[in-house]
Amino acid sequence: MNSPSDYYDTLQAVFTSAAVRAGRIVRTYEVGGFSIQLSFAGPALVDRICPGVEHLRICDSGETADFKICLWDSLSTSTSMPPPPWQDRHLRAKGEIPGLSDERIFASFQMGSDALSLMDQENSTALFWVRDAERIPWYETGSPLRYLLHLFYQRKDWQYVHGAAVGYPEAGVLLTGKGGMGKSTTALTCLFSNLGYLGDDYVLLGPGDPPTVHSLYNSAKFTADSENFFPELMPRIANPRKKPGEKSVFFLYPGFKEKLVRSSPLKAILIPRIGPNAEPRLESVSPIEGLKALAPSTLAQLPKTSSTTLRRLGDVVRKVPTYVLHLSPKPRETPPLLESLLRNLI
Amino acid sequence: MALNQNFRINVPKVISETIDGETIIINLESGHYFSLNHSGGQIWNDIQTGHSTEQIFQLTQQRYPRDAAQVPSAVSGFLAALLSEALIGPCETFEISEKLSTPTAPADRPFEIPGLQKYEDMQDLLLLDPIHEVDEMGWPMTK
Repeated sequence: MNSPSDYYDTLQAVFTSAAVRAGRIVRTYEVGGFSIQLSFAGPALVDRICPGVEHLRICDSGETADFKICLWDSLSTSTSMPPPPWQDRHLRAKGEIPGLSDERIFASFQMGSDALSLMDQENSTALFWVRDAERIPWYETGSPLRYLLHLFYQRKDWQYVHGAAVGYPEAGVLLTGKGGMGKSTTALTCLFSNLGYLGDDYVLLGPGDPPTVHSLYNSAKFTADSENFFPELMPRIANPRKKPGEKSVFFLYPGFKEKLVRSSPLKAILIPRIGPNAEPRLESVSPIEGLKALAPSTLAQLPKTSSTTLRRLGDVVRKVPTYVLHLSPKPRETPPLLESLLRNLI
Repeated sequence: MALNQNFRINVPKVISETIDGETIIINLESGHYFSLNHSGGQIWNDIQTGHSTEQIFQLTQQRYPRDAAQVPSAVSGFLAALLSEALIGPCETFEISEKLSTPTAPADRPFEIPGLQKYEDMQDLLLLDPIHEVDEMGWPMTK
């Protein structure tokens, strides 16, 4: 097999060919002061990648973007892809491809989307390829390019995390823990309160004391069980003909753009717990409980994590208080409690 | 547990963080994570800082002099648990990082049997390579 850098250059040429054939579409976004330029070969992937990040769009910054990603699919661009330079057995957990990675290049194959991502860590550029844009699942459209954004921001000492965030531009809270505990539902109830919305599944933590939580995606995902809580949102879901078991996906931009908050100083970490509580309440717990909620689910979903990742998350829980958020069966009772907490922490 | 058998932490796949005396350990390969009680965290830190098994026994007895008799079996059991979870591994070429020249101060709390609690609830999230087909070019294709 050629070196990872050679393979990157080969695929860069494939992208160039696809862009010539299908036309180049450029969109630029900004998160936490870093500009991210997406160059698409043709329109097929635009509708699969952009809706979730459209609230972060800025004017095109030309060649000066901090991170440049080239994206294409083979089917719509009629561009053939060379065979994978690894044998099947080389795929590891989280799609890592050790034989195709070195100090400069990091390669991963994301099953589900069947997406190949190659990150050039020296030059802050990346390639993203799928065979067929139509095969990208809706949950990926809701939170696209997870691996690449994680890899880029990790090198800046920022941390991509699994969690929801709500609040105001002056103060926000991170809701974290494993799936099914009420993160998304709690975040969505904030649409019907004074609180703003930063994300329901993945957000970015920037450095500082307190750290800053940044919105990455304007999407919200909810299960069939949660649909009853939000009947007014059902006409707006993006995937009304979803497959059995698939979550409903809903984009807050542009319909609820006034509710979107770009970033907030992080004031607390909340661990939602569903229970037979008469009303929602907060229980202060030790920082290690916050780390136990935040770290395993974040690390399990991201490639190329290490002791540095855990140390970075440890630094976050040391700086802000952690609470268990005991939820009541009525989700819309939660936002007033969070508003009260934030008023006390500002 | 033989005193001449020393151990090291199975880095880089095993990572840990200690906050206010409480420790979380994560096995990045399996997705399993663990919490340690206070005395377990002390022993984990002793392993991390390159102490031999014999030194770990001594340190724990110095921290808990009233319960020194319990220490050997408790520490041995704890090391065996760490070993069986592949969080530590035997270290044949062991270099002792420092000599115990001054005794460690007694702990300000009673001795508790060093304990390890295991959590397996991240298995579903850990994106293990699912069974998949490949297309005509050899690219993986989710069923």
